[in-house]
Amino acid sequence: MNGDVRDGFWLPRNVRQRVLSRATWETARLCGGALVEAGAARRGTTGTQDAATVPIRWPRLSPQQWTALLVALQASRGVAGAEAAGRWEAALLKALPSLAGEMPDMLARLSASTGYSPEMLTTALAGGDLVDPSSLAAAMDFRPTWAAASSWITHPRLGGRVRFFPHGLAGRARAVLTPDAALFRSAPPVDLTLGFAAGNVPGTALIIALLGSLAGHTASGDARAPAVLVRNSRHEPLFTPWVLSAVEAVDPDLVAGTAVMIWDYDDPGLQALLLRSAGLMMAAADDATIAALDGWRARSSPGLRFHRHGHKVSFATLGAGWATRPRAPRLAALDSSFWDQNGCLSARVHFVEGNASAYAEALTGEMRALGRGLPRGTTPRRFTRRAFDAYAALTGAGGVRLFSDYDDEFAVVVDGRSWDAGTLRRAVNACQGRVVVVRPVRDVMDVPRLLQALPASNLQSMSLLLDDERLEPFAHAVGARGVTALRSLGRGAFPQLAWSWDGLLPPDVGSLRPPGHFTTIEPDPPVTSISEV
Amino acid sequence: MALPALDEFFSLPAAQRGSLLVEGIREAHRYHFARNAAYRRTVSARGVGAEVTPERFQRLLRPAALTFKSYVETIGPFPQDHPRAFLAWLGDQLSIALPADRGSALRRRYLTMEGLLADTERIFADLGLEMVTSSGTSGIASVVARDAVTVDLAVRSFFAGIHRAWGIARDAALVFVMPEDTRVAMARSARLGVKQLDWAADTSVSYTMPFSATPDLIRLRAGRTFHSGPRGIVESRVLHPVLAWADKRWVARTYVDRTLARLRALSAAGRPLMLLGGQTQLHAVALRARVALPAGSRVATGGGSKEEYPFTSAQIRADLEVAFGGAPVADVYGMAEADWAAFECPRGNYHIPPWVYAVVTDDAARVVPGPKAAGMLAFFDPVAGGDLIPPFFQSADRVTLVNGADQYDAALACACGYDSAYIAGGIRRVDLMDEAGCAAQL
Repeated sequence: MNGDVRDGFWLPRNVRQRVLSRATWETARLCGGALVEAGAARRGTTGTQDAATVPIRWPRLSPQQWTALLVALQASRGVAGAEAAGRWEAALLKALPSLAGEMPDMLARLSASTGYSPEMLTTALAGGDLVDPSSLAAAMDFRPTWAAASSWITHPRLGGRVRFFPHGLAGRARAVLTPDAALFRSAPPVDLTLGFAAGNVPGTALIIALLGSLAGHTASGDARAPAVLVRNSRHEPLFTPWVLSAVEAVDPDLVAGTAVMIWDYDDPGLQALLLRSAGLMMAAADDATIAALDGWRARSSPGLRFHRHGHKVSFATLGAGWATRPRAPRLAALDSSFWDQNGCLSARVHFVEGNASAYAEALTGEMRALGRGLPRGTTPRRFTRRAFDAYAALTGAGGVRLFSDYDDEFAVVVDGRSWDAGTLRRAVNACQGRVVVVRPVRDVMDVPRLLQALPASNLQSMSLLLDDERLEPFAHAVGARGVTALRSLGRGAFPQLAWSWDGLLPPDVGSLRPPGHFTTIEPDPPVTSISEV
Repeated sequence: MALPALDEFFSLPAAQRGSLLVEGIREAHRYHFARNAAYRRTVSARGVGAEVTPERFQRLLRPAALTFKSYVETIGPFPQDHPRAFLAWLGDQLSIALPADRGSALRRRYLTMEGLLADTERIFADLGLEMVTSSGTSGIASVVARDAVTVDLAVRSFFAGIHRAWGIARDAALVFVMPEDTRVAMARSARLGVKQLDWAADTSVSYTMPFSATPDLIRLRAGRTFHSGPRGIVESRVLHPVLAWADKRWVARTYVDRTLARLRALSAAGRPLMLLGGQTQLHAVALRARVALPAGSRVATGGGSKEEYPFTSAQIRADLEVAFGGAPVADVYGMAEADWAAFECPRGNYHIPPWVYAVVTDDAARVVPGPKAAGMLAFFDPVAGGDLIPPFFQSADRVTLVNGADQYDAALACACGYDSAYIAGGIRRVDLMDEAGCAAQL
């Protein structure tokens, strides 16, 4: 890796020079998703002293410079309303060729800095359509009624299904009494969206920047989009500045009010300034950080709307029909291999109807093959081996069978013991670093009952292979438990922005509604390119 | 093959030490593989049979926490509710056959884990079984069995260590900022050692913690694991707050008072002493008052801070030095699963006893070669580990190990003069996966 220092932040051209002219700089070296001392070891290969590192930098601004930045962003706010989503769609499409041209260089840097293999990054970036530009405007236009709380409704333009789960009796009563009333009403205008992104999976800050900039979508007339300020992740600071630069090259006004910076959480003056200035706060971070942000919010700006995306767990469920779908184990293997299960979307426990041993055997073969085509990153293998050991120790008691070998870079185990809440929790926790616990179930409707033992606020996605007639009852049952997104097997790591993200739909950024969460059944786009990995 | 006695290892050349220990590990493996069901299951799954070559030694290492907390997977976090199942689990973990007829001597259930462990010791008194635990601040304690032989080895190892590394001899008074009645391994080793070596016959020994640190009290105080149902409600809403309150308002004040009183009395008498306790406990004493300890005294900290604490180790150490009149402050590193402890020397290195074959492993669980290597500490203790449990363990502590295993470079020998394997620099617990993405741990 060459020694060019890369920017771990992004500022639009019109404010960059002004804000940075007297900034001091902080630099760091990234390797394997962690900040390292110069010359220190890469995570995952302890003892190696020459692993590639990526130097990054970001400015440290004085209080006056922060104020100047906020003023500059406010002065550069772009268009709001329906036009904004359309502009983003067009800009992203136009930016794609230049991004593709720079991809080889960026892939090398992303791989070195995040620790994920180039093959995994390539597949994820090429195969994923997280930001499917063509669906953005349609997603922002969606205005469900209370009928969505009583039955699944089909998205009129995108084809997937949506259901709203109100929290509390009042919401349930409204669903019955006023099914035709609108769920959303416009939120007060937002001058600034404040975002926080964490982790080493690329793209989180970009999603927040994009959604945050659309928070004025319900505004009418000549209202302007909010300014956007996102705290970038120190563990993956390169991806978002790269994409925003490409967008700026084709539509500079669109991102003229957007900034992606790095700052310290424990700077009370700065945090108070930022929170007081914001009308919407969005955070994708661990629960402790979100709790800390809640504390800041309570002290500085109690009325600030806050969209929380804490750490989550996801699962896969396969109906008995998997046995007649030869590609099912491969697709399921994909769901538990991307990002080495460090992502909230990664399927942990696989609930399987039918012959679970046959499934586990097939899954083991597919994960072995995927390990060659989609090598794991620097996520320490010792945790995978620890899971292997933990289950190996249980093989004497019956009900537990290992299918992978100690030397495999993944673990697959069938656990057919009687489970209580503690067993399920430990199984879920064991499933990181490409570890799959296969849980035989008599009927997929047993799954929501099992999930009841987990905190609803930590549940996220369900990758699914199920006959269509069983889909809605199952989706309703797991949605009621807290699962917020269902998508086809093999698409676990590839959600689309148009659908529920932790219970929030894209229009939520500019709307108010009663407490509750959306669960969505995403439409089934082609997965051919991914399944060929 | 007969291995030398513990003391003899101090005088053996490093090369000879290494080859002896390699043979000792192979022999110990053979012994335990034949007798220990849990061990055999684990290493067999890793492709190891009764014979093992040094290149595959890393496959013998069992994660310490995984091994001694594995009762949770089979009987849940409260073994006292299932004594027979606990006994079956214990028998599975040991390389001796527990007499089959003793299970009936256990009650159908116990109110506390302490009750169960005490009764287990009672019904196996003829084996000299001692049940020790980790500190259990996570809410789930490691439960480790020792027999008379391993207790003796652990005690001798501990006291040989403090004598060798710190020069603490029998004329020194001992002040332990610990409860006298506890199952936490290092504190119990100290208490058993004092008793076994009859230390109190020559000098003063005192314990200043004013309560019994049973596993149940530690669990309730930590507040992370409660029973379900009404019992859990009482535990979480009554007992935990009361214990937390008592800890803050009464325990802390009392042990600080008692410790200071003891230190002042010994100082007045001019007796050199060793003050041993947890970092944060000693810090509480140091923050209250200053006592200049007599010449030849030492302050020893044991165990890292497991809870949020607003001072760094360096700050604590500086405060201790000031408070205790410049007495040398050193740390001791140990774990419930080990029958040894590593004592910090004046150079800041933690010396591992010469009869322990220590290695570090990388993130793929492979041994990192070389006389100076960084990784996760693991150890084989074929000499003092005893015959009860295979003494081959992988810790969750990241360290830099110098002159470990059979890798020796004379140029790297510690300048303090104690020529053993040592941990250079700090020790960092990395039990959990570093946060990488957005996947939750529940």
